[in-house]
Amino acid sequence: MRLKHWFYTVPLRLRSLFRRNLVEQELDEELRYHLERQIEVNLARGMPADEARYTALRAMGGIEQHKESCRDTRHVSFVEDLARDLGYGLRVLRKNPGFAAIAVLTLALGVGANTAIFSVVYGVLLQPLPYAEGDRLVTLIQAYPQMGLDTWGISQANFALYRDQNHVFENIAAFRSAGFNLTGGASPERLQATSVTAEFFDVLGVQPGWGRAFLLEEDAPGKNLVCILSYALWQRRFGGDPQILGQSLVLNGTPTVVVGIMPSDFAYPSRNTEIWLPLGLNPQRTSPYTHRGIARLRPGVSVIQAEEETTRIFRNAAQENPAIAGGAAPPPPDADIKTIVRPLKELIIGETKTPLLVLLGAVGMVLLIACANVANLLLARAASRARELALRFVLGAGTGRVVRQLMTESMLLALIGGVAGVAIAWWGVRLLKQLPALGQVPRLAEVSINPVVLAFTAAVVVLTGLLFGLAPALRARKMGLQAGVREGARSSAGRASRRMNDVLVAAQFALCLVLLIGAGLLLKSFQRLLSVSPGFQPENVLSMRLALPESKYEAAERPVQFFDSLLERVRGLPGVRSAGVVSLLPFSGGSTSDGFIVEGHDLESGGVAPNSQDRVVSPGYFQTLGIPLLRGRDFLPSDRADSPPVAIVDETLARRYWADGDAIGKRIRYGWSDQWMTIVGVAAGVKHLDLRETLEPHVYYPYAQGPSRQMYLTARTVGEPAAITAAIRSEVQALDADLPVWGVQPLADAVDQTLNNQRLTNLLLTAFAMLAVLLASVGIYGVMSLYVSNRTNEFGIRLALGAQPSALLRSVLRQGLALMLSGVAAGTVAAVIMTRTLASLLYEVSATDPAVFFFVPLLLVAVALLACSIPARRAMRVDPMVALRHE
Amino acid sequence: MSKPSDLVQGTLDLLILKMLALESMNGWAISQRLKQVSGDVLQVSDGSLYPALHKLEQGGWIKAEWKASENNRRAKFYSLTRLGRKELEKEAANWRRLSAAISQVVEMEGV
Repeated sequence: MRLKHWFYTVPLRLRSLFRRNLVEQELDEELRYHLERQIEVNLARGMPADEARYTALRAMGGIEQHKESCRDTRHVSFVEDLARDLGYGLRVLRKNPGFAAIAVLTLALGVGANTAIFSVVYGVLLQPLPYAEGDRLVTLIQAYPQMGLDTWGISQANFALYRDQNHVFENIAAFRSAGFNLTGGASPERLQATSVTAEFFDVLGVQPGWGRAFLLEEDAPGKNLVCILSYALWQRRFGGDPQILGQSLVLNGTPTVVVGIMPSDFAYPSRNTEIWLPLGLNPQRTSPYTHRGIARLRPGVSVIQAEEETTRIFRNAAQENPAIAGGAAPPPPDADIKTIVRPLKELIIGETKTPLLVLLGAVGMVLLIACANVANLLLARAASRARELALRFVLGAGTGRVVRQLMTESMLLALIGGVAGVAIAWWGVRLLKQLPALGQVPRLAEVSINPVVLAFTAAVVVLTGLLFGLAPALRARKMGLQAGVREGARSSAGRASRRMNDVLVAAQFALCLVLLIGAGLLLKSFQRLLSVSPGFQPENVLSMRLALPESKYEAAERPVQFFDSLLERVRGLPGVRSAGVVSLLPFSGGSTSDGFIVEGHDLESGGVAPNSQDRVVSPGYFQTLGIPLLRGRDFLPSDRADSPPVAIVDETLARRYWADGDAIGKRIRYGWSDQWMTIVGVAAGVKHLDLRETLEPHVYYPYAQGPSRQMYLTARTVGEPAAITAAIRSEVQALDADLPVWGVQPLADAVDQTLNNQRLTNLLLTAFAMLAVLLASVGIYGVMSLYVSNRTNEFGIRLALGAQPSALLRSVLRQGLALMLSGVAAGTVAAVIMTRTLASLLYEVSATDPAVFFFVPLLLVAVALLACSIPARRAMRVDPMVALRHE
Repeated sequence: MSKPSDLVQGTLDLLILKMLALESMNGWAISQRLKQVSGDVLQVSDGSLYPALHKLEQGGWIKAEWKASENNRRAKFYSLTRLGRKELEKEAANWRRLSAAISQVVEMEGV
């Protein structure tokens, strides 16, 4: 029904809009025709010409009103008024280029910062995962905190249990990261691999772009000699040749057939994954727990339901087979055994959520400050436009109409600022994505200025337009209501507008202070963090990784022989002070721990051995990293497989068991082993993941007594550590030409990288706080300038009467100070409440750190006083004669 | 004062539609015809006829074209659209039902 009407009405509306003059002419002509016919009739009736005309006009009624009623039927007056207001607004802006530039720039910075940060928040936190119905994807972790199991993952046995017994998942898979040495090509190379169960790709709902996924029968020990390549590896190593499908690669010395190639945008579990292989599932393997479980919930099943069922499966299995939960006896009924199920997205987002939301809050405040600034500018300008508005009211403009016109002008300003802001954001996002510090932010590749972000920006623009347009519009409304009482209207509206100025400036200061205090707390915390020692001296240490393939180094003594001769060669290189190998290097992002029992501290039955970090090291490792040995000795070449087992513990563990920390000669063993190791040394504590962590107990033992094929080689150098990379590489090649070296990195860089996220948060928050200070200073400068120019008259008189210029300066500064202090007081209170959200980001700094809460407001007041001093000096230099003629 | 009440307005629309159903007419002719048929019952000033015509035109029920008038001058002539014709049928039926009902009530005895 409505649609049929449009057939007639749309052309009419368009005609009314775009052929307005013609339509108006026709209206005139139509009514004139009527009038003339009536006059003719009246003349024919014998009326005199004058009377004939007059009578006809009277019969018509008010012609202009009828015309207006006719115009109303066109339903386009809203659009026409809008077009007129926009045109007028543009002219107003063009006539005040300085005002327009400042307002647009202020808004553009505010909107731009918000758009950029929101695009990151959306891309990282809000955007759905790039998998079909990604919100049904969950991860599984088996937790038994007493056994040291909480954040690791699941075992193959656990996976098989869940897979066979659950009713909550559509599909479930397990995977773990792995590495393979690719040989047989130009140079040996280490591939970042992921070992997956056959269901892996089905769970994610992604299939290879070429070839096929793994078959169920390929996911068994011995049958798993197939692989799927990442698109990037396919392009880089094999030039995108599709013939590679069906051919064999030599991985860890074993021929492995390429059966598929993933699409270019597939990046799970990470963008670095180059190759996927079947796990070779063994459902009897109850350890290690280093597999990640991933599952797709059945439709309608909640995460909690899934957690309940998988926990029940885990608990029941642990009663039947204690090894499932890592114990020797069935766990007690009150044991805290459970399966943790979490949405996959939560896991991917990780710890970036809080900093991102803090930054979003910060840019929001910057935008509010920008709004207050523009509102103040508009209010100041409204004072000079008072005459124009008064004229409009006198000429009969409705209050609503004038308010609408002012709001249109504000919206126009917001729109221009918004468009400029999007340009700034576009540039800002490109810049952000290039910052090396952002390398650790997950899903960064998915961040872009997309339609959702633009919709957010549009909403922000409308909101800002409303916010800063409200003050001048309200003021105009008041003026309109008081238009009758001319004199009174002027002074009281003036006072009201000044009060509004004051409130806005105070609010700016409050917001600004919250931001500054937040930035101050983060910077102080960062300063603390930078001064924290990791427990070793990372400067001048080069580290790299090596993995000896089992096929070639099967016998237990083979890896020891290899690393012995490698270390001997490396120590002989010029520029190398010392060298050592370790199974897991601090700040490499990994963690290995196990339960240990100290002699004389036997477990109660059913008890669980307390966890310590365990490391396999070579002689010289402590010296190379600069980890002080507090007591006893380092491992020696004489600590061989056939000599008595020895260990070095760190002081954290030593102090836990022996008050004086003297552990030498005492004995310690793995919870699962009967083999006692005699403690021969006590090393200083070392942080192993980042600088924030509290020290964890460590147990070290010599690599000859617990050989490991995967090692980090470390070398302390005389000069620039990276300079000896090539020399070490060639020593490795000389020993085994098929052995790739990877992960070459100065240790200091690895330590530094753990600070990157924080550095970025600090950089952005500080930048936003500085922007806020700048805007607030401009704000108080503007208001004080207005204040001074409004009182030029008074100052002139006071000077003429002999007042000291310095007294005037003080009076203006006092005025400004009063304004700031109310803002600072409100801001301090707000900061106490708001900085609580920062608590989790702070290191050894309280969210209400007294020094920050004292000095930062002081700094802000100092900056603001500087901004006030410019108009204050102007007051001092008022020429009495000019001032008296002012106005 | 010059705006007819809602009831009259509705009636006015109906009358205009009805007149235009017979032939296309210009505003002047419609006003003359209105006076003829309804006398002084419908107190419609000449001027307020035009907003009513424009409303019907903008609503798509009648359409206008410029043609030579009786005395050979250019005038705006209105005629019914297909929609207008349907609207007339509907409104006329409504009117008949309503007026029949009202007559019945008004002429009922011994209420």
